[in-house]
Parts: sequence; structure tokens; C-alpha cells
Amino acid sequence: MAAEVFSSNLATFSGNLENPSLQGTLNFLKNVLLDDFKLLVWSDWHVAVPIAVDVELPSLGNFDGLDIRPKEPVLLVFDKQDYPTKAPAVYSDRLDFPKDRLAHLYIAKNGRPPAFCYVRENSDDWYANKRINDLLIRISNWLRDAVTGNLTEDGSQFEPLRLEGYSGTNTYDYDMLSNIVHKKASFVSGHNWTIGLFDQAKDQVSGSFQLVEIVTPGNMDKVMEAYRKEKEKQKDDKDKRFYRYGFILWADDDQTYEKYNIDLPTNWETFKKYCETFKIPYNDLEGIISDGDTNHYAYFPVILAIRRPKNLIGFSSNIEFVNLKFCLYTDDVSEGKLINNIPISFQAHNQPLTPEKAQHISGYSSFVDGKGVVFGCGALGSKVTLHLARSGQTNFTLIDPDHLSPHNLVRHSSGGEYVGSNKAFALAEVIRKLYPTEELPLLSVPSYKEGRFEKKETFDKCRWIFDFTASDAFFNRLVLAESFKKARIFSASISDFGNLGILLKEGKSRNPRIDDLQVYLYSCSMSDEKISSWLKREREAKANNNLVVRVGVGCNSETTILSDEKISAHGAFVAAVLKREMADSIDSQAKIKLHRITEDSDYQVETDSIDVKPFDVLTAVNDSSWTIRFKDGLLDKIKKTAAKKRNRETGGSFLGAVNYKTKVIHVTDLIDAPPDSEGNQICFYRGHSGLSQKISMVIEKSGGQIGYVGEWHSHPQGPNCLSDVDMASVNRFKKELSELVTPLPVFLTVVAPVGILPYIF
Amino acid sequence: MANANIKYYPVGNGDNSLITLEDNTTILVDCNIRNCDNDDIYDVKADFLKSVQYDNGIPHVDVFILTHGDQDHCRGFKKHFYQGDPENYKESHKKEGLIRVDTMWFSPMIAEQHSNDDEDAYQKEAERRLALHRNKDSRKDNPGNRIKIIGYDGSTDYRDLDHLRAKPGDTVTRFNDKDQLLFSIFVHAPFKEHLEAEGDDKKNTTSIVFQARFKNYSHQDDFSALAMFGGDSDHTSWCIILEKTKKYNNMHALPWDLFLSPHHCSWSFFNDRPQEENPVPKKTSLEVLDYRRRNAKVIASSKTIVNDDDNPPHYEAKREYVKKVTESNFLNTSTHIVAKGIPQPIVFEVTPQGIIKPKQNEGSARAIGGAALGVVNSTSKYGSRSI
Repeated sequence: MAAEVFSSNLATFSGNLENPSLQGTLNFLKNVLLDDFKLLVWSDWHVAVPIAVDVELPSLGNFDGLDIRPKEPVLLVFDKQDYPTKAPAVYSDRLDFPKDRLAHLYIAKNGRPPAFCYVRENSDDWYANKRINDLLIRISNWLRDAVTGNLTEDGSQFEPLRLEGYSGTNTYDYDMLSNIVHKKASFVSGHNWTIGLFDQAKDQVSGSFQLVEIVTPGNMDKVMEAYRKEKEKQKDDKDKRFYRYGFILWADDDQTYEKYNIDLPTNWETFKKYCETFKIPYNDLEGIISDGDTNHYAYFPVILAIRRPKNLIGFSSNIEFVNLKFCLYTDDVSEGKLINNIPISFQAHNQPLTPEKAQHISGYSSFVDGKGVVFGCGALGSKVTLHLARSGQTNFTLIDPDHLSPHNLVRHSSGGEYVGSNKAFALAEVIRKLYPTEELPLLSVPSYKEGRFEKKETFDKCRWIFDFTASDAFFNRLVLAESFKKARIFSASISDFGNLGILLKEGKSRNPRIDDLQVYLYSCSMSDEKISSWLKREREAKANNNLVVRVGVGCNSETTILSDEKISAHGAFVAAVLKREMADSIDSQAKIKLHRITEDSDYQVETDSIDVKPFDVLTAVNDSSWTIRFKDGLLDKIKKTAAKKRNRETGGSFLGAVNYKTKVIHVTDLIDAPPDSEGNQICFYRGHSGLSQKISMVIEKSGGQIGYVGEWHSHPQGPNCLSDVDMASVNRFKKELSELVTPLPVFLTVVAPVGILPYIF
Repeated sequence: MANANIKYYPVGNGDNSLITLEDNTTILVDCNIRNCDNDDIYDVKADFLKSVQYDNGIPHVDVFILTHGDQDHCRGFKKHFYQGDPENYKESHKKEGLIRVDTMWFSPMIAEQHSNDDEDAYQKEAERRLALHRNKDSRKDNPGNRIKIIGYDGSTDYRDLDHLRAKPGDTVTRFNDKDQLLFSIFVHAPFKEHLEAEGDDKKNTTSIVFQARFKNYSHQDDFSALAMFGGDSDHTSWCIILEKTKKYNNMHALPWDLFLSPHHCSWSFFNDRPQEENPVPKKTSLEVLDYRRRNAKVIASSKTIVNDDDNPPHYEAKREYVKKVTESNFLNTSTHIVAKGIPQPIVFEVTPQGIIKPKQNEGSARAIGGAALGVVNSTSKYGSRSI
């Protein structure tokens, strides 16, 4: 039996088609269909071609007994002007197509048959790479999926209605509303509806709504007060919110409905029928909205709850919400009744974003729960933090004493509305707006109160410390802080005129520490030409008194020339690395991550990763306020060198850097005793042949960051301390080194029978 | 994961079927890989290499079931499948595209006497593996050394390897050392009675016969698809199958959605040959066909079936099948799908609604020519005049 087809009611198209692409496609179809080819009028802007699609049917019968046939008539509908940029729509041409039982059909409109939702993505984008023949194959495969039960992604769940041509969206938390329906928590006990306060989208054009809160007898007065206040605000008041009351209705009984019923109501009369189909009483609603004074605005949402036999795909329960938008004016009502058949349109539901969903959408599989303290919410800090927040990581305490200035908007994640606000506060607000319905564990303060930074309990529950301050002072404070032993510390900064992003990740138990990592990075200039060039540029910049970008200093100055995209590139890199490194499953190896932008001839990005082993840490024998931190392997090396000489004394020089603020000497390398050195059982003469050249080379390569810091010699047979001869040298050294512009402490280490004994004067 | 599928290759008169499970496990039932240099022949080997899985670059089938040793069921085994210690598989073997058979299914009854080189190679490889197991070699369970004994022993006694054996009436759920939840094989034959069979058709009557059973979900009550494979088994075998299956209350092992017509649509399934002398099909054979499920299909893996004296395929056999399943459900591998003059494999995908042809492949609006194009590999002539 031939199916009754919708196209039999369409007129033959007799006009001219000037779109050459469309002509080509129609010619193709003519060759396929031959005498069966018909070109019909779909609308002023569209033509339709009926065609039968071959469908493979499974051997044991169609899924759910669906009436889909080996030859399915469909209608290809082409946009006369915009084809092929606009993909053809494909409608079933059968009047009795089992539309109510299939997902992936669009809501039928204007009495037309339903259209196939044949691609998950945008159909125009899909068709950009396809031909008409591919579309026919896609429809055939769609129907094949329907008859094998593969149309839904998961057979144990219910595919929700597909919407096209909806009029705005309504954003609310599905779980909250479905709970109300499950519990039948009516505003008036024993009834089946409740009220919500909704806000309209700021653009005033889309007609989208967002649920602010559900109205209950308990909060009614407060909500009404808020509604009244907003209503009274001037229309051009920037802060005005366009509140209105919306309604959620459900059925008394628990009956479930499998059929889709894709003909959604378009006016009050069809609304009533629709409600009757699902046994949803609507008399109370009519009474309330006919009061004439319920809503100040004409448009308001009405949400119908329908129980489905299975949980909806992507949702936690079997309630499907049909979101409608009513348009009601004062003259539509009289004496508590609707007197006009008011228009109703439908809306799409949007779930408010939650951190969990953001995490899922971001593919953040290594997510670990924990608290992070962010120091520095400037350009880099705000971008990195926002990347993490957008991935669902929102458990932060944000700290920044600075205020957002207009010039900060060039590179900061916050918008103009926050100028003058504290940067940490502004960033927290931006994050909160991502998740408006969530109570986030997010704090923002300008700074810790006096003494709190040093208190262990302040950071007891903190898992990560992030330093984005670009402040040397804070860097030193972080180095010395003993209050966060348990937390893993990361410090990120931008250098090299904004072209080098640096991320330091401390090791376990703070070894290597961020200062170790920094000195280690500088020491890499000995073998890494790119690091050496960077440090040389930095030194030159300093020499020219050009402090625009210094090592480890960011861009909080108005005079800093640095584009937003560069900060963003570094920020994205840092965030991506952090997401991996914050997970405990990743080894606890300390790392230096570099993100380098070059734009000599072309804009290019390259990255580097350096693993750093823990440093050997010794305290000065004579002055416990000084610590010496040796790069891994150096102590072993000097011990071996000493042992090789057996009973004869030997020695050498240390390369590294001294920091008076932290009272740390970092030793990054050794220089062997020059060839003119001499040693015997009681004495070691450290020669100087070639030594100065070697040190010069190190200083040159490291841009002045690494240089001579001290010396060592051995006492193979004791004493386990400095000898008189040693002390004489110390005094001689001290005389010279203390008179330098930046004095250098005298650092002498003795490799004695009891071990390595460092002295600092 | 893609649905399981069953592929019947067009190999003329011969059998060559590949079962691919949801987890990409592949089970090859017989092979008849002919000379692929011939342009009219579908390149089975090339398709194998695209269909099987790779282990460190080594193509491998999980299981090879040789129903019996006739040439048209094992042609190409020696040339295209790796034989010997899998540890000696070399880069050169990869280049040759030698396929490793991880687990062989071997019926001692079908290899009693020499008939062709490919069968000998199969038997030799089976004996190599059996020796490893018998000697409890530490490598015996490595892929490429695994073996399953099907049915009963012939002249050689493998009783000490009974743990490797599946007999008629057994359901196998473990394939290549992996348990399958959605797939199993019920072994119907060969029976002990076959050992006493006489005559030229001994090999045919002793074919391994089995029902391959597919599900899409483990909690499914019934099977999604049931495919019957029977090599060259004849009507006497099927008579015994019917009798024993009923006797042991294994009726579930009789229904089918896909029936690979034995012996390439030979009359021997219905009665003794020649058909002219025995024109009435045996009741038991017809009863076997009555166990078909809705829209079941018979596959004739044979040459094009014409009404002539060149049997098999036998025209009268086709008529009997068609009577049961209708013309549209009788599919001949030589004619069912032909592209550019070359017969193509018949593929069925397993869905919870039964078997269905695979989806059509969509094309694209963007294209490039490949290096293998004829126009690329042939001289092009141009000019305003003939040269």
C-alpha cells in the first residue's frame, strides 16, 4: 500500500532558479529519479523534491515494531538562494510516519511533517563537505538506525525531544525542578504547580529566561519585594533585572508517556489539548495568569513536566520538561479567564553550568579535588586561574592587593565593569558568573591578615600554592615560608620581553625549591644556547636601564608593551601543564616548563621541559643562618675528586649564585683546580691559570646570573675544621669581597674525614 | 564498539567466511584464496589484511576453523598464513603479509590422508602445536601455538590433550584465550559415526558443523543472530545432527538466520547424488531448514548457479532452498553484490533486531586521487591529432 504523502498537497514549482549550485543538484536528482522527478513549492524561499530512500531492515523485525519501510518517501527541501551554504532540510513525506516514537526528529511546525535531525553537529557545516548523494545515504542510515534501535545513543535511556526553531532558551537546574515534580511540591498543597522567579536575558531580544529561584510560601515576601524593586527601577538602569513569574506544571498521576508528540502547542487552545494529552491540569494556571496583574511583562515561561518511561539521556531522572513561552497582554484576560487565544512559542532548556559539567566538557580527566591558593590575579594569574575554573577547578582562595586599572583590561580576564575593583575580587566574580547556581568554595581577599601567611594552619588544608605575582619580593617570601610544607608550590612568570613563559614546579617536601629551580634554569645557559641568549638579553636590558620586562617580572605596569594574545598563549600553556601536574598520579618530579614565542620571521611557539632532581642542602658550620644548596651530584663529585688524591689535599671552585635575602648560596657547578695548583699532605695551593677566563665565560653565558661563589679544598687527614692557614685565606678573601659593590660572602668548604663542612663569613 | 559482523567472501566454489566480534576478535572459517593477480577475482587476502588485528605489526586471526581439508576450503593456507614457531616471525614475513593464526581449530578426523599441499600444511602446523602441548612446552599457550581439538581422534591418540578438546554438543565461549560474553559456538559435528564412513566423500561427511551465536547484550534472552556453518556436510550428517540435537535436548542449537549451504549449494545436502536418481529431498534436511528464523537467509558460496550439469552448485538444490526462504533471501556470493564486474563479499551486521546489511559509506565533497589510480599508472596520450 502506497503511503499517503504530504507532498501531494504541494504545488509544482514553475519559477526560475538562478542558483547554479541548486540547479546542479536538481539535475543530479533528475538523472536519478527520471520521470519521477518533481520540483515542488515548499515556501517562498524553498523548493522541495520528493524522493524515496532505500532502507535496510533487520531480519527479525523493526525495533519497537516501528512502521518504517524498505522505501521511505522523504522530501528534500532546498533554500533557493542560500543553497548549498544552507544545507537541505529533509522531511518525512509520509503523513503516517511514526514521528511520535522517534528521537532525532525536529519539532513539527505549521502542520508539516517532521524533519530529520540527521547530524549532531551543525548541518550546514556538515553539508559543506558533502554532496546530495551523501545526504541521501545519511538519511538511509538514519532510518536503518531507527529500525535497529540504534538511533538513541543508549537504549536504556530516553532521548529527549529535538527542538528547532525555538524561541530563546530557559536556563534552570534540571535536578532542582525534577525534584519538585517528583515530590509534587506544589506551591499550594495538594495542587500540581509551582512558581519560579525568572530573569530575562540582558539582550532583551532573544527572549531567553533564567530561573532565579523557586517561590515558596516561606520566601514569597522576599521574592515579591525583589520583584517589586526591580520593576520600579528605571528602564535604562544598568543594573535593572527584568523579573517575571513563570510556572511549572505537572500531572497528578505517575503515568509515563513514551510517545514524543512533537506537535508542541502554539496557542492557548492547543496548549489546553496538549496538557490534556498528558493529564496536566491547567485551570489554576489560567486563574493566576488571568488575574491581570501577575506579571508586569507580557512574556513569561511555562514549563510542563512529562514523565517518560526511562531516564532522559544526559539527565538524572525520567522527567522531560517542555518549555513554553506565553505572550499575554492585559486585554487578553477578563474576569479571571483568558478571552483570547494567546500565542505560545517553545524554548530550549539550558542547564546552568556546574563545575562537574565544565570538567566533563573540558575532558579534564586528571581532575583532583583540593584547595589552591592563588597569589597574584593579574594578567597571567587571572588567565591561568580562569582556564582552571572553566575546567571545573573552582576551589581557590584568590589573593591580590592590586586594583584593576583601565589599562589592565588589555590583558586581564575581567571586563570593564570591574575597573577600580580589587583584582582578586574581580576574578572571583567572573568565575562565579560561570556557575551562577553553584555555591563555589571560592574566596578572594586583597591579602592575608598580619601574621597569617606565616601560620601553618593557614595553609593546612591547601593542596597547591600558585605564585603568579611576578614579584621578586614575594618569590623570596615564598622561598622562606615554612607554613606550607604539605602543599605543592608552582610559580609562573613571564620574561624575555614577554616571549618566555616559565613555570617552576617544586619537588616533594619543597626540594628542589623554587629558588633552586630558578638558579638551575640559569645554570642551563652553559649548555642551552636559547637560555643563554635570553639571559644575555635580560642583562642588556638591565644595563640599558630598560626595566620593561625583567627576569621573573610580569606586566603590571602601564608602560609594559605586551599583547593579550601573548599572555594568553603563556597562560594556556601554564594551565595545561598545571592540570596534569596538579594530579597526584603524575610523578612528583620537580620541573621547569618553558613556553617560548619567537617572532623573528614568523610567529612560532616552542616548549621545553626540564626535570630537576632534589638539591643537597647543608647549613654553614659557623653560621646556621646560611644554607648552601648544591645541585644534585656535585657533592659526590668533590668527594670523589678528594678521594682520588688520597692523602694529598686538593680543591676547586664553586659556581652558582648568592642570595642575601634568603641567605642561600646555590652551587650549580664546579671548576676543577687550575693546572698550576699544587697539593700535598698538608697544603693545597689553588692556582689561577685559566680560572678567570672560565668564570668570565660562565658569567657571560648566564647573563651575569651565575658566577664564582666560593671554593673547596680537602683535609684528607683532618682537621675537621678550617685550619689557621685556611683562616688566613678567609681573611684575605673577606677583605676583597666585602668591598665589592655587591659584597660576596666568603664561602669555603672543607672536605674533611667527618664529611663536608661549609663555612660562610 | 562496532557490532559483530559475518562476511562471506566471493571465492567461487569454495568457502571463506570471516566472523568479526564486537571486540575485533576475528574467526576465520575456511579459506579459498585464489590467485589474486586475476582482475576478475575479489582480492580476499587484501581484505583480510584490512580486517584482522595487528600485534606489533603482525597481522593475525584469532581463530582459524578448518571445517575439513578439501582444497576449496583451505586453498592459500600454505602461502598466506604463517606456519612454525611464532617467535621466528620476521620483518620479511610482515612484508609478505603472512597472517599468524593465533589459535587453530583442528579436527583429527578430517586429516587422515593426504589430499593437497594446503591441507598438509595445516595438519603439519597442527601437529607442531600439539607436540608443544603434549610436551608441556612453556611457549605452548602463546598466540601462534594455541590449538583446539574438535571432535574425536582418528588414527592418532590425543586423549592426553582432552583439555584442549570440544566435542559435538559442547558450547565454546572462549576464543583465543579470551572469554566472550556475546558470542559462542555450538559444535554439532563431526560425530564418532563419521569415522566409520566410507568412500570418496569421507572428508565431506566429516566436516566440522557448528552454530555461531551472537548477542548484543549479555542480558538478552534470545540470540541476535544465529549462523550455521557446515563445510561440505551431507544429508546423512544433518540427519544425525537433527537426531542427536533433539535427543540431548539441545533444540536451541538448531535455529538459524544465516545458513551457509553445504558443499556450495550441492544436492548432497538434500539427498544422495546424482539428483536425477534421488530427486526427493530427505525429510530431515527439509526439517533443518524449517528451523530458520524470520527473514532468514541462505548463502550459496559458489559459482553462479545455472541450470546445467556442472554441479555443484546444483540448480535443484537452490530451488529447494528458495522454497523455504524465498528468492530474495537466497544469496549467491558470485552474483549478490557485483561491483565493476567483480563479485563482492556479502556482509551482515548483528543488531538486537537481527542481521542487517551494513550501513552505506558516505562520501565527501572533497577528494584526491590516489597513487594506485589507473590513470596515474598508465600512459596518457594528448594531442590534437592522432599519433
